[in-house]
Amino acid sequence: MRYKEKLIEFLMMACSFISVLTTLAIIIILAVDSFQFFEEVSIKEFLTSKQWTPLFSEKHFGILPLLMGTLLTTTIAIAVAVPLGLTIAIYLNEYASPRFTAYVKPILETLAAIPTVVYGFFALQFVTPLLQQFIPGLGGFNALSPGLVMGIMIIPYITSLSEDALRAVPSSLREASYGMGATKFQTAFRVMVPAASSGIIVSIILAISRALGETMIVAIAAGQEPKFTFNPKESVETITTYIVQVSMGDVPQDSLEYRTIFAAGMTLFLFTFLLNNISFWMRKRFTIRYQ
Amino acid sequence: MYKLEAKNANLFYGDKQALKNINIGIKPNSVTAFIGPSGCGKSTLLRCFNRMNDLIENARVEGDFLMDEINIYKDINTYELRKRIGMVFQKPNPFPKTIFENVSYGLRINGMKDKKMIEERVVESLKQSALWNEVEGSLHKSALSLSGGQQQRICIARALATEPTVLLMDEPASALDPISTAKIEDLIYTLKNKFTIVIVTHNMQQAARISDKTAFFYLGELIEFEKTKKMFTNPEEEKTQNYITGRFG
Repeated sequence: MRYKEKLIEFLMMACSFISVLTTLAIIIILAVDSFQFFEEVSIKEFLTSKQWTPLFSEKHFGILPLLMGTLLTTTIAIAVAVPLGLTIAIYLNEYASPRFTAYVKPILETLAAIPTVVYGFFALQFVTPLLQQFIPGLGGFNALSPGLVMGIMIIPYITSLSEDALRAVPSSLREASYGMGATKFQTAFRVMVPAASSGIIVSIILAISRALGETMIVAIAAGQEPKFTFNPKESVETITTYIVQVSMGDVPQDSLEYRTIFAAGMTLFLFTFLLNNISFWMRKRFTIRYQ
Repeated sequence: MYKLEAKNANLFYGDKQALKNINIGIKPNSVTAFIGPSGCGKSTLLRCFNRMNDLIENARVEGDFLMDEINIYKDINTYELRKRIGMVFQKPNPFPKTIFENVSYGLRINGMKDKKMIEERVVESLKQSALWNEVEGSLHKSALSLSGGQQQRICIARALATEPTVLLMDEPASALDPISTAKIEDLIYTLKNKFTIVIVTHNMQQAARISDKTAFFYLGELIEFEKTKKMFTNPEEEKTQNYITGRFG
């Protein structure tokens, strides 16, 4: 019996090690290949050059255009998802009946279950032509349309987690506010949202991470053109899209061109790693302990 | 003239009747204790006076509730009513904000902008709730850093800030230690001069110590409503006698 117990314990530990080891392996591979990349390209060039043309005859290795593309689409997505997602969370928690919430929340969460390739074509074939009717000069490939669609895709991340955070606030606080003569709106925005703020911020950070790493939507609808621009009407390329482009293409392995994707991947990893840590820290630091 | 009054009041939670034909009148500047076993309707009746039962989805109220002879359910809007009737709850429930923000909450949601006036009201309320000496100088600390008893007095100060005339207290000391409880009781005694206080309590000694009149409820009915002294020495009803001597409940 004791022997069996030990075996089970060992298997469980092995399972948890798989995820740890995978993470470590990814970091090591990223680090090794990036290191080789930076032996040939200076970090200064990588961080300051405004051109990214590793696949052309005249090569430039500035990550900024890809970073701009990534940040631009992410910013648009967040600008859509935060106000909408939060409003929905507040509505579900403070205004709607519990029965309505029980039905609507799972439906909303299916937004996250739609394959991103579907969203990509939705952006390219539906949203872009629609926007072109209102916005003159909007390219067939642009940052705006995939950004907006990505925003819709990440709404459930924000709504679901924020709603959980709001629900975790003791209802005695709500009662206290109503007891003072506060309206629903005042109660929601002056008591409930501040009390749930750490959970809400964590949900936003998670949504940002998701948007930064999103690949398919931008690959399909943003145009794969690395440009140093903050103009959402133009086509852009994100870090993820570039990685797909190179790994799907005919770039020979073990070449400098091939290693660019590891340097780019490392950059993206650093961003999401940082965001993850901020959210972890926020959760630890700002979780309010109620009586 | 009564400060608070219920006439032929009934309350239903769905099909279940929680209050049965209650008639009660509460005089101004007095302390009235509601006692009775759990589920007898004492908290429910208390919450009728500031319409907190409105928040419960299937609660339905019949009869008339009056404050200063104004019909609470017909002639005044709920927000205005709740500003005039302060409430203190069973568990201390300060907002996760600073002491100052907690006490000034009612003023701010009322649209008071004048910083000086807000400050004056906060200090005044903290003094009224006998907390000023303990928190002077730390008004911008989180209210959650205080002890349970202090938190409850913050909640009282918060309720007093909007200058209500009635204070409803739903077992305000049941979650507190004996020393904090004694402080709250002293406080209730001094607040009587300015406010009409109704307190729900499970603690009969507490009711005997602090109240002028006591109402005994049983299964949704008001069994007896008498001067506290008489109630605890010579009650009219046998049920009251049995309850206060601890034979049931």
